[in-house]
Amino acid sequence: MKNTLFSKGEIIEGEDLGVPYKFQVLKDGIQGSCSVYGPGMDLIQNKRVFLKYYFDPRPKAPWFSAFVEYQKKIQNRIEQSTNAKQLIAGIHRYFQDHRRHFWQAIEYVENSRDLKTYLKSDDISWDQRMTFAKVFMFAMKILHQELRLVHCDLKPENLLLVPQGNDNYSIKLIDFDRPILLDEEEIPWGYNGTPGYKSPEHKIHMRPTEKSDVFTCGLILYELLAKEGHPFNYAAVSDDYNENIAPTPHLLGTFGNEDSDRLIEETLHRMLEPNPDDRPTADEVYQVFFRAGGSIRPKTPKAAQDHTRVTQPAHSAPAASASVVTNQSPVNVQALKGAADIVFLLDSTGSMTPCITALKQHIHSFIEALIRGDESRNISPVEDWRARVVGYRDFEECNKSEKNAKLYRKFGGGGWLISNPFTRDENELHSQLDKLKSFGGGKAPQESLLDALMLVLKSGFLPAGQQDAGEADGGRAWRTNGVGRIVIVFTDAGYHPTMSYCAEKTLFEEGALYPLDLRGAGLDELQHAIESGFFKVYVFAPNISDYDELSDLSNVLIMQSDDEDEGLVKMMSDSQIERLIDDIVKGVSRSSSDFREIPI
Amino acid sequence: MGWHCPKCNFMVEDGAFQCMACGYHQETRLILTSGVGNKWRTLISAEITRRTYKRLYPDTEHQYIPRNEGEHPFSVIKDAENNWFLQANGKSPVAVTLNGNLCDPAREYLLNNDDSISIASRSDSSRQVAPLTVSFILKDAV
Repeated sequence: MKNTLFSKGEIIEGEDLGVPYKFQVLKDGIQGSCSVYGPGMDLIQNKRVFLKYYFDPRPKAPWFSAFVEYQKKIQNRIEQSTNAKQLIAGIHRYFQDHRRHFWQAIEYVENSRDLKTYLKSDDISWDQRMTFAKVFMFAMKILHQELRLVHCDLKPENLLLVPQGNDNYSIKLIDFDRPILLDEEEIPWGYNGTPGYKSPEHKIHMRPTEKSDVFTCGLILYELLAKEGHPFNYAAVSDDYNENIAPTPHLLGTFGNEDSDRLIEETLHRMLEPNPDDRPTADEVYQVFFRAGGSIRPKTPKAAQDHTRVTQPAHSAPAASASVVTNQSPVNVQALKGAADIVFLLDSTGSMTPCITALKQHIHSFIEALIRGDESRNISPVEDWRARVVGYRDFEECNKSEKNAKLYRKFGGGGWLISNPFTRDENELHSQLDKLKSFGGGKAPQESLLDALMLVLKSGFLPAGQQDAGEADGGRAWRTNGVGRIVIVFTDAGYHPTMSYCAEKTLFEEGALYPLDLRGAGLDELQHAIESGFFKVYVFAPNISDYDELSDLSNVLIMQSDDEDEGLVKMMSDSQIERLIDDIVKGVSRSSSDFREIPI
Repeated sequence: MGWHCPKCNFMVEDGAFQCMACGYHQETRLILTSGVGNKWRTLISAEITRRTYKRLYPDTEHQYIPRNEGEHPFSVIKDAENNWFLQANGKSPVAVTLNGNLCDPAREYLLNNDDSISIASRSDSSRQVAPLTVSFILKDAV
């Protein structure tokens, strides 16, 4: 129905209290219960607004002036609250026209859609639903506690969702036509409300309170979060719903754990208690949402509750993983003497071919020296060794695109990380080195050394005393209890100072085996992993400043060469290898009894 | 000035790491500070071992912490929402308290600024040593 008082193109112009106003109506107005509304333009400030013309109360109504004052009071409260201003579509200005009719020009919320539209289209994810619920209840807490008002006419249409990009939305509450200020005794113009969203007391024309809003919020939250939807089928029976029989809701998704979910379901149900005194406050509901997921929550993963966290890669067979590879070791297991697990961590980019070849040539003498020991210098032999080869490149470069991933797969023999299981067989070690193809890298590259090192350190631990994991963990887990744990790095490049590995971002199975997110981690975290796992790390690297900081870490020994081209290969000379082995066997021979414990 | 929550666009005041409207957490580093003022920090989940305590309490208190692997007293865990949790290790001979209350190893406890974590005797949890204070800094803060 076209409203002649509020038609498209109409200019509303005049002066109120000495201040001029000039608005243009952009669309024919829509008639509500007490106002006509629609989009408009403030022609003085050149700003789009939402215009609202009140035909009720009329200026001749005995309480008209009180109503106008009341509206101003509400707006003042909103203006004074930093929180409320963000959550409520604010008043641009209000004025009385030449016939003394009351108008409001409200903030125009660009690109918004109301919650009802989203619920109808079912175009919202569970994550978004949870966020809406939290912010909505936060807004209600602000309304009740800071503004001291009851909205009285909450419904999904009055919740605007404003897209912010990345599937995120901000929320704006609208329609503050006739809220109730809690400190006002007389409300001569009655109480607003929408059938299907009124509380029981509101329905029988009692004055709505904050708890009446809570009831209505409960109805909206049922629609938003519960499989049951609106519990009273308001569309069919509108005002006749029986508020005594709200079903217990069942959430459409989870807030993180069963305890939280049950608490939220109970809280939603309590919000619909017929007796207002039995309902929670908006703040209580907000707190329940805010703490969902828990300030205390059951330990995860649930299946491993009798164990501490399983730190091995996720590829292990699910049933076996918790029991076979764990960071647990029974107490008082005899420490192994002269045992070592060694990982050769090699930069596998293009320029590393000579180094890999040199390592192949020296691996035999390395192992020989390792198991020989040196009685004259009181160095015990490493009688029980396991070793494996791991190649690494640039995580980000490799996972930048499908195209890159394909190239790495085709020419590099895998992704950014080429991992092999521990072996006691020297031939197998040779074969692991043979498989390593130099690929990738570039001029003055930085590779993902810290990421690779961290993943190697976090490859899981075998239970104390266990010597091999067999197939269960991909053969990568470290032995515990007195076994020396050594990583020897060979690289001719620098490294990214912060890690970027994230299992979810890897395009390769191999990389995704480690269920970790290391993004942003750096030397602090690496230091902790080295120290807490009693690792020793040797790094053969070029003489570049990148390695200054790495050399500050404890248990990290950097061996650098000034010769850019042949340096790394020369460093694999007998003397350097001897020095390395010296250090390794000393570490392995060290008794783990160099600590003592004090009972508390 | 504050920051806009990327999840709900609410303007959060400076110094707060969490959006009070939707609960979004900025990514933070967890810092543990010992009674002697030493600090240890991490951006990723970690087990707090005797070695960690040795940094925090280099003189004596670290000797209360079991030395065996797998007997670390607790872990700090960062979840996908950037919340930090404490998880006591049920296999450790020592117990852990959070703000004086004994931690159940079957639970994870949300860590807040100024929380205090102590090592306690399993037989008498009122005997607590080596307190650590929890704080946070933004991931990229120096």
